[in-house]
Amino acid sequence: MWQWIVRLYHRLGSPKWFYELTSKWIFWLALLSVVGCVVGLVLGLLYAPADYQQGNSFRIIYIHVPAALVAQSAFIMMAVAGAVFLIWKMKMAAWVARAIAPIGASFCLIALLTGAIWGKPTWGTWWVWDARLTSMLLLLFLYFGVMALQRAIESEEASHKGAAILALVGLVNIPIIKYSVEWWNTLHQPATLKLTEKPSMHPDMLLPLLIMILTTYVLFALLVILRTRNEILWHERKRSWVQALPEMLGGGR
Amino acid sequence: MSLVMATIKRDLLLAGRNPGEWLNPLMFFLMVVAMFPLAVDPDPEFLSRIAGGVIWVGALLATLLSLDALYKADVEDGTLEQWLASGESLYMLALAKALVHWLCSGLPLTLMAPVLGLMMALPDDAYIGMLLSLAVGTPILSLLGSVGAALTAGVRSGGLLLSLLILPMYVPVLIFAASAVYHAGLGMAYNGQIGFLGAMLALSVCLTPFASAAALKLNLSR
Amino acid sequence: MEFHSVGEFLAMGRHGLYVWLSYGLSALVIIANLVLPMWQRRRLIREQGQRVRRDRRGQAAADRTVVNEEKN
Repeated sequence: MWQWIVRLYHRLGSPKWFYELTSKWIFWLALLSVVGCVVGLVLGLLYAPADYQQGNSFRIIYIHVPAALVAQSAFIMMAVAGAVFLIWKMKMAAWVARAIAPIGASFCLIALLTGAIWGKPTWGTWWVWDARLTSMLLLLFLYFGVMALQRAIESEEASHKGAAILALVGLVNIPIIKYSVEWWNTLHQPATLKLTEKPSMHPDMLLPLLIMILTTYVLFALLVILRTRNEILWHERKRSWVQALPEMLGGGR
Repeated sequence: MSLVMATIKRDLLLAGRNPGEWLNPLMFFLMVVAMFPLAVDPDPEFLSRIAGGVIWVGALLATLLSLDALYKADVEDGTLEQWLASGESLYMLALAKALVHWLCSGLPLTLMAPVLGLMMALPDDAYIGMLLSLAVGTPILSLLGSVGAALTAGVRSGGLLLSLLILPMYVPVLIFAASAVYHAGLGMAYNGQIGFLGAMLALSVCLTPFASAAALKLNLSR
Repeated sequence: MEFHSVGEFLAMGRHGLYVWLSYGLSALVIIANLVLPMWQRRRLIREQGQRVRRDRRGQAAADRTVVNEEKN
C-alpha cells in the first residue's frame, strides 16, 4: 500500500503523466458534473418540500452550502500543495496551488453572493454580519492576498514559495478567525435565524444537498485540472513531448 | 546569539538616530483617531461606545504602515546575505526584528493610547483594559506583520500589498482586543479576552518566526 | 412534485427573484471559470503550435540543404 502511494506520488510529479492521464478524465468529469447538477437541481428545485419557515427561498441552499464547503477545502488543498512544493520542491504542486487560488476565490464569491441574496428574504437586508458570511468574507480576503502576492513577486520560483508560505500561515489562522468571528457574533446577535442551521433536515431536502455537494467537488476537480493543464503547457512548452502533442502539430483544437 | 543582540542594538540605535521611524506611526495613530469624531459624531456618549474599536483600528493601521520598512533596508544593502552567511538561526533573527519593531511601534502606541482615550471619551474603567489589551495585542501585530514584511521585502510598492496580506489575519486580535476594551468600559470582566490574546501571543511567538525565516530566504534568490 | 405549473415554479412562492438571481449569478461565475481556461488553452496552443511548426519547417529546410549539398 505504502509503496503504491509512493509510486503514485512520483508519477503525480511528472507533468507529462498528469497531462496524458487527465486528457481522458476531462470528458468524464464534465459529464459527471452535468448529470449531477441536473439530478441535484431537479430534486432540489422541483421535488424537495419548501421550508416551513423560509418558504422556497431555502432552495438557495443547494448552491450556497456546496460552494462554501468547496471554497474552504480549496484553501486547505492550496496550502497542502504549497507545503509539498516547499518541502519536496515538486513543481507540479506549485502549479496546482496556483491553479486552485482563483477557483477557490470564485467559489468563495459564489457563497457570499448567494448568502447575501438569501439574506434579503430571510432577514430583510442584503447583508447581515452573520458569523458564517463574515468568515466567508475573510476567507475571500485571504484568497485575494495569496493571488496578489503571486502576481507581485516577479521571480517565478519565489512567487510560488511566497504564496505557499502565505497560504500555510493563512491555514493556521483560519480556525482562529472562524472561532473569533463566531464568538464575536454570539456577543452581538444580529440574526437570530441562521440560514443553514437545521436541527434535522427532511431526507427529501438532504439528498439533493448531498448530490450537489459531491457534484460541486467534481466540478472543482475539473476546473483545477483545466487550469493545471494550461500551466503545464506553458512551462513545458520547450519540451519535446509537448511539441509532439497532436494539438500542437495539426491545426487541431 | 551575539549577532542577535548586535542586531537589536543596531536597529534601536538606528531608530534613535532617525526618530521619524517611530514618530511617524505615532502621529498617524493620533490623526486617524482624530478623524472619527470629525467624520461621524463628536457626541461623548456615542464616542465612548466606539472608542475602544477606533483606537484599536488606528493602532492596527499605524503598525501596518511602519511594517513596510522592517526588512527593506536589510534586503537592499546586503545585511540579509551576511545573516545567512553567519550561520546564525534565522528564527532568532526574525524574532529579534519583530521585538525591535514592537519596541519602536507597539510600545509607543500603547503609551500614547490614554491620551487618545481622553479625546475619545473612553469610560474611566476602560483605561486599564485598553492598556492591557494593547500591551498583549500589539506584539502579535508585530509578529504576524513581520511575516508579511518578509514576504514583500523585495516587491516594489510592497506597502499596500503587505496590508492586503496581513489585515485579514489581524481580525482575531482586533475582535478580542476591542471587545476587552468595550467590556472593561461597561465594568464587566474582560480577563477572558486578555487570556485569548495571551494565547495568540504565545502561538505567534512560536510559529511566525519560522514563516518569516522561510520568507526571508526568498529574497536572496531574486 | 412541489409545483403545479411552470409559472408557479418560476415564481417560487414570491421568492423567485432571490432564487433565480442566486442561481444565475453562480452559473455566471462557474461559466467564466470554465471559459477562461479554455480560451487560455486555445491561445497557448495557437502561439506555441505556430512556433513548433515554424521550427519544424526550418529544420526540414536545413535537412534538405544538407542533402542537396551532399548530392553536389
